[in-house]
Amino acid sequence: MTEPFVGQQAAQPPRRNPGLTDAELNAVSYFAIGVGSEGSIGGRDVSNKLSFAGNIFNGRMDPVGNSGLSIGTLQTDLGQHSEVARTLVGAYQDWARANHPNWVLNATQQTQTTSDLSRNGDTIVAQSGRSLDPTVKSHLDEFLKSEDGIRYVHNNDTTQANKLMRDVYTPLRETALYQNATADDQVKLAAIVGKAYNQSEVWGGRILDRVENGTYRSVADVSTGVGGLIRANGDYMETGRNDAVQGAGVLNALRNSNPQNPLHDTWQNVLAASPLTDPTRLNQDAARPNLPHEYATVKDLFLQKGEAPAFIQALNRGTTSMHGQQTNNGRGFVDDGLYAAGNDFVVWDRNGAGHALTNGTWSDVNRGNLGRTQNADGTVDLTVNRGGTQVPLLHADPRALPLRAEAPGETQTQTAAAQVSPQAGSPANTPASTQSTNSAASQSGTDAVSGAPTMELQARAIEKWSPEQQKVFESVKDKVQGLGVPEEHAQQIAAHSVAEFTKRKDKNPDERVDHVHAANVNGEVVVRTAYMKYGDKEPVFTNDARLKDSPPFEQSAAQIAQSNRPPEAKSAAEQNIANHQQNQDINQVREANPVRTAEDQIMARVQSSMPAISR
Amino acid sequence: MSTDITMIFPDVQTSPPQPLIWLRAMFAALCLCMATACAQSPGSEATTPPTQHEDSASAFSGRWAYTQSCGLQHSAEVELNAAADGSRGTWNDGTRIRGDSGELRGALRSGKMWLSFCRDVNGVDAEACPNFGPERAYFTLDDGRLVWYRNSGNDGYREYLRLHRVIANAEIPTDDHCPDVDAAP
Repeated sequence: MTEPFVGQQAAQPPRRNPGLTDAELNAVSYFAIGVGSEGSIGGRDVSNKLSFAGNIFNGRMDPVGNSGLSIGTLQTDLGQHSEVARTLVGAYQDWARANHPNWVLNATQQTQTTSDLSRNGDTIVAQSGRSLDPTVKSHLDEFLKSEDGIRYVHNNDTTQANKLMRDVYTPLRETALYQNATADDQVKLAAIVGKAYNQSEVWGGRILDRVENGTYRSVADVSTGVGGLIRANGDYMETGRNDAVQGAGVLNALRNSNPQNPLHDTWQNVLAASPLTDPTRLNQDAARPNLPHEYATVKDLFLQKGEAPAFIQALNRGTTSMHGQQTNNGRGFVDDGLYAAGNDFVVWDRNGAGHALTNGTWSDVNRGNLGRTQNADGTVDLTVNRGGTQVPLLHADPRALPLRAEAPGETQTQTAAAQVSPQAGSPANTPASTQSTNSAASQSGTDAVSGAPTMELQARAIEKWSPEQQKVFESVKDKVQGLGVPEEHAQQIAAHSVAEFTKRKDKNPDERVDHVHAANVNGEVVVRTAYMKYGDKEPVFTNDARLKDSPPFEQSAAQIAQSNRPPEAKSAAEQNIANHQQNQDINQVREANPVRTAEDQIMARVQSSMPAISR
Repeated sequence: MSTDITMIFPDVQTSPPQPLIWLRAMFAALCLCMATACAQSPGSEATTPPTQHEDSASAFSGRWAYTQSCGLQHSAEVELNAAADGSRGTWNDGTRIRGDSGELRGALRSGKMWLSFCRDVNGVDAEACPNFGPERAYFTLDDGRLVWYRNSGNDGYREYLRLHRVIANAEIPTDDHCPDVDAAP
């Protein structure tokens, strides 16, 4: 299965890359692996609290496996690191003496708390799931949120980042695979291997060994290797890898940003100050007075890693991008958000804390103070409450012309990132980057227009597609509009359907679409495209696209344009990935043929449930 | 509300009616699944009743898996092979944050597969493979699932996970329940 792949790789001339800087590798650890995966759950920063992998019900702890309590952006499991539990309690005591003398633990309490924090999952289970004293836990959480606590947690994160540099990146840098990779691929390699190592030093070490001994010849090989560590699909090493790939995608989008993109300087300042800079001292860098805004903005992009690439891409071109779940009346926001217009942007996290760069000036914003007005001409105005008055903050016009041309290479970054993960067609294995893009979007109440160019620009993009792609696009769009969906959203899901179809056709040139079906199911727009060969009882393939999962039009258009490039225009790495995926798919088809497919069994369910289906 | 199926390429418009009905039924199944907000993935049922009696170690044999689709995306997998004195196998269990793996031994007593584990570790650990720890868990079979119980101290043994039998090319139902509000996907 790997023969053609290896052969093609061998044909490439050796190409030395200067490699990522230490700062960039630390950014992989801290932002891509840390903020994007370990220190967040559902896009919410959980680094400065006692976290627990498991359930707590009626005060009873039920851990996942051997997991104990943990802290940090790069999560340190206190059950596996009793030395950290000890220093945590010591730091807490120092803080409590200075700030809350009545919270200081006596000697017995200190011993008990250290012991409780040091428990691994097995010990917690053996102790009938006994919880940490709730008062002590709440005081510890208060400490972890304080400046002293943030600094303490960050010191631990730095220790873990240094460990990744020593144990993973240093040997990785010596490998031929890394040295011959593009910078984008180096980011992906570091993220995938570093993340695997953080999850399990045994398995991460095994992956690194295989990179070192030449077993793996490409990023796709490494990605597949992590996916194959555990035979089950959707296993924890796979989901960890998908997070890492998505984080790498954000990092590469920032690295490759257009110098005129306001996020370009933002990123450069964070790198220059060090991604491992103490977050409590951001305002003490005289050379970078806006570092508090810049650091928080970068962090927020990794928290919103599904939506961030499109947002960054929109700012590359100086166009419009809107992501944010609206309140019921449409005049404000709930949850997190990313808004861009020209060279201005506003970002806010799930807690509502946000930052704006408008007219070249940074400011703090809070989601609760943001106002949103949808104008009749399709434009959107954001206002912010300043001293009791709503003042203009950002004017987003989806039809405005971009300020500049697309930066070279930016589409490659996103597409290649999406390709790293193997078996992209399977929902269980779809990289998070494609699964969760605009996951908050829905037909109503959500802005999910990113980089929306004028209709003319969209038409210009579509003109470059093949007649077949255009036909699929028009068919899907017509069907969806037939459901009463606005044209803008219809184009979004239609482009997504074409991108998915194109991805399949890349692997199998005989692929066709000859059936399109659209439905509105409980307010969710779903499109099914299928290829039904004459005489066959079963479709050769079907693909379901949901509006809420569809990325903005231009993101799908970029993927389609990337796929439509002639083979000689594709990089060796992209070709390798494509070949590799094709080999995998061929093998999967061979394996799938002898058995009844899952679709057969869906049919069985349909037959037994037909009366319940309303038409 | 749904639109009709339309063929968009003339060269295949001679397709027989059966595929259209089939496709319509497929889509109806999708709608049904979504309309009922099915808690598990719409894939096929991945379990089949074991043919062996539950008192036989071979009834436990095979691959078993659990996957959570949300939150920390907990997953676990167990592979068991019948041995002269019970079962031998491997296990892994973790989240997208961290996980463990190792080997296990099982001894069948009264329909329960009593388990001892060892762990793959890169350091000092009393239960580092090949050193097995004491029995502190067991598996039972219930309605085609492998149910994992853990010794919970004074509370005795409590159910930990229900794993589905892994069948080639069949989708394992996912656990879409994430009780922690922060763990919402």
